[in-house]
Amino acid sequence: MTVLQLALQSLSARLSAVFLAILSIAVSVALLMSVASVRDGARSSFANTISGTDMVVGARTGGVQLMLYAVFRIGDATNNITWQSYQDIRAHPAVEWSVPLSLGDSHRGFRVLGTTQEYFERYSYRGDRALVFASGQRFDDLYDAVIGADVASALGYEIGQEIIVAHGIGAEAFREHDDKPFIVAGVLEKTGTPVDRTVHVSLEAIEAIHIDWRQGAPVPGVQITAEETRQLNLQPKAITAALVGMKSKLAVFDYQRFVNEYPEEPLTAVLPGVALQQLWRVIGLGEVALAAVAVLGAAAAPPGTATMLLATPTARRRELAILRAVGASPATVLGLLIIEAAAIALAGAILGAALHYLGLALAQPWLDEAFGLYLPITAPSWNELGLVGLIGLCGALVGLLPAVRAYRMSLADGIAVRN
Amino acid sequence: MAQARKAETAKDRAETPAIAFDSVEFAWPGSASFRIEIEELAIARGDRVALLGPSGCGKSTFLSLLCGVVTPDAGDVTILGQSLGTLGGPARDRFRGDHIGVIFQLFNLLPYATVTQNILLPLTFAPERRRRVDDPALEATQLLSALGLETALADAPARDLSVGQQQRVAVARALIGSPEIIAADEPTSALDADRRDHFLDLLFAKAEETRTTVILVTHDPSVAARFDRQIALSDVARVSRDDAGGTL
Ligand SMILES: Nc1ncnc2c1ncn2[C@@H]1O[C@H](COP(=O)(O)OP(=O)(O)O)[C@@H](O)[C@H]1O
Ligand SMILES: [Mg+2]
Repeated sequence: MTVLQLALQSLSARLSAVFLAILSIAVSVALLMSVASVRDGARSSFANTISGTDMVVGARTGGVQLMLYAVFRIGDATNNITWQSYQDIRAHPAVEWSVPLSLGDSHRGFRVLGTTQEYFERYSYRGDRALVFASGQRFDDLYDAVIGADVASALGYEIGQEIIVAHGIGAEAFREHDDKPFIVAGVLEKTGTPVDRTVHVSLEAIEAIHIDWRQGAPVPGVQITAEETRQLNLQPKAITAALVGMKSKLAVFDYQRFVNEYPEEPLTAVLPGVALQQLWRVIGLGEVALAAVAVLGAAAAPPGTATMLLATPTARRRELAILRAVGASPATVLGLLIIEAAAIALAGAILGAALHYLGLALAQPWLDEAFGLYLPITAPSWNELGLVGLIGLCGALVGLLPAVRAYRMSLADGIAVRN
Repeated sequence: MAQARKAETAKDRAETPAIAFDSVEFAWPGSASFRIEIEELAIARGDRVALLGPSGCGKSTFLSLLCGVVTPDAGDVTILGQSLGTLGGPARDRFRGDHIGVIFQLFNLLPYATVTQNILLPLTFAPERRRRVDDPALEATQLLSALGLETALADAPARDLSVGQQQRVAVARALIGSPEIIAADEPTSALDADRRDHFLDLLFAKAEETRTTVILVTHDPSVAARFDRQIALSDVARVSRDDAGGTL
């Protein structure tokens, strides 16, 4: 028998304890890999909130700020873009398409977005995924609305549901445009982007519900009914932001300069990718904390279990005394113990990775559907491999503790175990 | 005296005693309560010696010194002409593996390994003994039957054997590859009188064939009576102990 055979045989003799130790390391490893995978998935889902749009344009503000209100529907725009300016920036020869966004109203906590039909064509996320209708279709009538998946599920809305839009957002949203109710014409599939939490209406509809309002309040004595409004000129005077697609990516920086230096009005153009990265850096702090917790949990698990499970000192001491008696040197005995600990750690790491990928394969469709969190199944990164190796090493070291104790006892034992 | 012994060693190895203790002093590290001194002890090759003494008098300690598992604080142990004190740790371990077959009182075997694997275990660590065995598996079977064990047990895990059977397997393991010395630490104390006698018969018969030196420590005078030579440990060793601090 070689030392390796001895080690494996000794391990298989303690199969249930060894298996539990392997399992504890496997769980740590799987936990760690899953956290890493969720983190990467969240990061890339975030970075893929909007794709296919080369430029987001708004009133002069910070890039992150602009992304927050224009794309994530968080916070408010300080200023609008006048319709005239919008016409100018979309007329630039490098522009292939543009979609105006008008924000400011809400429906039961969800933002209402005024836009054009083209929005449903141009908005894409996670590479080239387009918006898909779960039911119904785009807004067609002036008072049609298209709701995101979360709006539909949270409020239990279906096609045909009547919606009253409130003026303003959050606590200010107490005045309602109840004279001009909307009808749900379409429900979108879940995307995992802010689109899910948005009520989409036409740009004209935003104009329509404010037609008899001035300075955020209905003009006293003036009342234009929903039907009368249809006859009026509903071209907006201002929009909040615009998504812009360029004919060529090369033109992006020229165009950005053009917008930023637009003389009539202070404007900002940002590249969504860059702004998303900046934004993630802020959110990333939470990511680090999450990873730290995971690493701690992962590192704490194997010590507890392995120490308890593998500590069978008496049997071990006898075993080691036998090996010493037949001529094994302390180094050989220690080598044997190290091989055992390493085998357990290796098996734990492999099993952990298998658990992780199995779990990922099973949970992937559900996570995508329920949270719009898409976790790609990829080979582990070097970083992850390093961490897994570290856990394996920790497990091995910890598994070594009781072994080394038995070893030191066997050295102190003399030729025979004292009983 | 030590000088003379060394000269002798160089002259004729075969004439040197199997085991020689010379002015050995030893205390267990970390426990000052027990101390053993052996001024002089020589056991000739081929001798069968019983070392007799009550429990706790230092018999196992003596065997540890003999096997080179611990080293004396002073003096030297010479086995087959080889001074253990001049060997480094790993070399001493190898030397033990090659030249001494050890039998314990109990728990001689790796419980999960088969009987054959247990018997062959020393060959992994003792190259000289390995060289002396042409066909290990065959040798193991022959030893088994010589020791009155059914060869059908060869592939059984050691833990399935009775204590008497296990002790006999331990003898087979001590004998394989024909080491010059067998050192046994109360190997019969777990056996009843009948099986004890049978065990000693087998041990002596095999040792006779190979002219193996047998040193066995025991607290049982009736076991010691069966040996060519009995030594009371108290006659060769000066033991000082402070019982209050004993760790037994
Ligand atoms: N491995 C050891 N470490 C420390 N002290 C020991 C060890 N083995 C034996 N002793 C001490 O040495 C003394 C003699 O023990 P031992 O040699 O086992 O006697 P015996 O084998 O005759 O019963 C006892 O006091 C015991 O406590
Ligand atoms: Mg003893």
